[in-house]
Amino acid sequence: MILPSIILHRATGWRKKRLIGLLTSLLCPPIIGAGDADEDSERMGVRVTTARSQWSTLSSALGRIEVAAWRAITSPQVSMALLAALLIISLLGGLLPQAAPDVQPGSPRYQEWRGQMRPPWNAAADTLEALGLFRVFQSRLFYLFMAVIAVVAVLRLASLWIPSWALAPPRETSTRDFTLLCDEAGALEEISLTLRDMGLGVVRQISFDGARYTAARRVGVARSMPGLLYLGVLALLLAAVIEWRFGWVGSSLDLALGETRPLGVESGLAARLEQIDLLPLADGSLQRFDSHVSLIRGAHVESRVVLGLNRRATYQGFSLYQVGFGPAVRISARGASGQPLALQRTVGDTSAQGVLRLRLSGRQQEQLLTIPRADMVVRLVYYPSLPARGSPMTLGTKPPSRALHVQLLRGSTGKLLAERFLEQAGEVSSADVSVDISFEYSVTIRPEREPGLPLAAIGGLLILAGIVCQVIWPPREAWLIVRPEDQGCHCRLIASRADADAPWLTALVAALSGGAHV
Amino acid sequence: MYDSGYKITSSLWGTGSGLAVSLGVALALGAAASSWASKERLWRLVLATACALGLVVLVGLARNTGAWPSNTIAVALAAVGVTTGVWGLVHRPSDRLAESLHALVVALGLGALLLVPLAPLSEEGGRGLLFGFAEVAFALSCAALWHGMISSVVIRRQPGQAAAKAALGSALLLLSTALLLHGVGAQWSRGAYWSWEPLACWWLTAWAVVALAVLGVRRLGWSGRRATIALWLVAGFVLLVLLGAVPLVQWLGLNGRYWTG
Repeated sequence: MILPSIILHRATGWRKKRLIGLLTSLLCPPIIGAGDADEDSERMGVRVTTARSQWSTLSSALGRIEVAAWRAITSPQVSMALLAALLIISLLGGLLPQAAPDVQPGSPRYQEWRGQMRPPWNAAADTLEALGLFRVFQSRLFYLFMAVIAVVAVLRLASLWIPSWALAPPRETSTRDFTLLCDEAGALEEISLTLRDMGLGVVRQISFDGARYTAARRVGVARSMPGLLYLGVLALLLAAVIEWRFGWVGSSLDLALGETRPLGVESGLAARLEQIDLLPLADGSLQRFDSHVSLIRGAHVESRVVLGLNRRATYQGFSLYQVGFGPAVRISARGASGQPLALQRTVGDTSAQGVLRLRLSGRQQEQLLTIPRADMVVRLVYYPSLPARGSPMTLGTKPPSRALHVQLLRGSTGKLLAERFLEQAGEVSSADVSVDISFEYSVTIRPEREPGLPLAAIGGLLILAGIVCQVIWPPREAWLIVRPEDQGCHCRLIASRADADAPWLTALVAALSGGAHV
Repeated sequence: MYDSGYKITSSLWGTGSGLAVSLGVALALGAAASSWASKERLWRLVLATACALGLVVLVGLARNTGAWPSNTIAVALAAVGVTTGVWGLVHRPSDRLAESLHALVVALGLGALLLVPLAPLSEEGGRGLLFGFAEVAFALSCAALWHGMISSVVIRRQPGQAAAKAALGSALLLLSTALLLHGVGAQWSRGAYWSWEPLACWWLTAWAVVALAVLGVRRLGWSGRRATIALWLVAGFVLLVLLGAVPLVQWLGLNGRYWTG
């Protein structure tokens, strides 16, 4: 109730219009908070805090709460607390295994993921799971943290970009007293000019109880540009919300050459892998790995795109990424006289084909094929030395080594006729049938719709620009109290204690007290 | 990539680069010696040559063997050492001890290339130019902190706030750039600019630690010994992240696989 009233007032400048006493007191923000460095500051803060239309104990108390809340939000301690929370969260992400966002606890995929967990986490898995530490980035606490960051970013951005918005002094302050030998108007003019020389401008002045209270801070570009940091944070968070609400990420699809698979309901498209361009280096590592993919709607090829390492393709608002690769084999069979024999899968598409291409995924996989005309079963067992499926595509990386165990069995009796371990292309023969096998690649592609991507890119750039501006133009704020006296004006300069030794404050004090009695 | 016992001199290309690294070490040691002869111009010339040799070798290693700072400890040490020297050349230390320390750090970094086997920590070599630039920015930020440490040693009689402010500010900017480049690279390669994968989490941890120190020094007025201690702790932590994040992630069996869904 308190903070919205501050925002309403400061955004609209609505100060004079009164509703009821309590609300009016809330709408009148202080420029100097209670509880400042010493007794004078305390008294001054209380006076300004209670310089409201309706002086009452309640409005005074609310004013103090208002100052404390506003002071807390803009304090470096809150920034440090948020950063510390981010530190803990990112440490958890760096130390603990995290389930994929689309894998729900209890689902078969989640159980499979839990089963693959390695020491030391598998021993403590139940405890960690009960604490929700395997889904840190999907937890309500994490979303709450992001919401807090968003609120703080909005308020800090407003404090930087709303020209008349002045802040209460921090809790720990450094004060300097001096006397200017001129009347109040002269003192204020001199103070204003000196502040301008230091890159500061007066953002608010009020009179109360015979004293003039002035809040000064950076003006112009130096004040507004550091706000890009908060704007960037908001843009990133908004982009995440847009992605969550309107974005779509399809399942990763493994495609062997010539294979067609649907991209997902959202797209209504299917993808067929037409060709792979592979350019190995002398040591066998990959220099280029491009895949040519046809996008098909119904029976019609709508487009043909080329995906590659760090190379995406877009079509009708969808993006396609080549996120991995894996092994595949090309199999054909011929009879004793060299005539081609048709092969059939035992599951899935069981149509007879002269040449079959099989994707081999997983750590170990068995596949069974039949050659009906020869009463033959071909059993393939793949042994990758490295996990191959979904391996991130990396330049300069050798493809994983592999071995394929091939057995030829008589279909009617199950008798083993021939077997061989293949590490490269080869032939396995029995008396009447030869099976030719060569190694190929499959690719893993993922379709996405990313409406928040441009905003995220802008957000990232704004954050970087904002950090640069924060380093160049760190916050610079000062508060002054000018009280006319018999011989001149008594002035009190208040600044954050962190700025006590800052060159700008030293120069400001020197300039102000140059013709004054300190 | 290469086998676990591979050293820089193990191939024909490596023999040439090994000679270059040896020359770089000798030059850096010569620069350390020349700093005590009060010949600043000579120190700059010799150290700049050593750093240039080191940078050429590092770029060549990345290009020819896929050895990057994040996947090879020796390369990480060399990158931090050489870039610390670059920071010293840019900022012109005003003290002999500082000049000497900068040169010694370059010598130690390049020496690591000669002495430590280029054992790959990960089969994932260079994952593209953007990831490479991100690692360069990370190494530069680490070097900025070590440059600040050297400066804080030298100006120990003065308040350490100025050195800490400059070093931490530079490191924060460079780490932010590294994270941004990492995000762009991740978007291009797998369609997810930020997916909380373990290595990115460790980089974010390093960023948060540096940001905390920056806030402490710039907004809370940490100065003197407190600022110096903060700078040293942060420099040590960021170097540890650079050297240890990948092996730790692999030891824990995380491998960042979950992002593929």
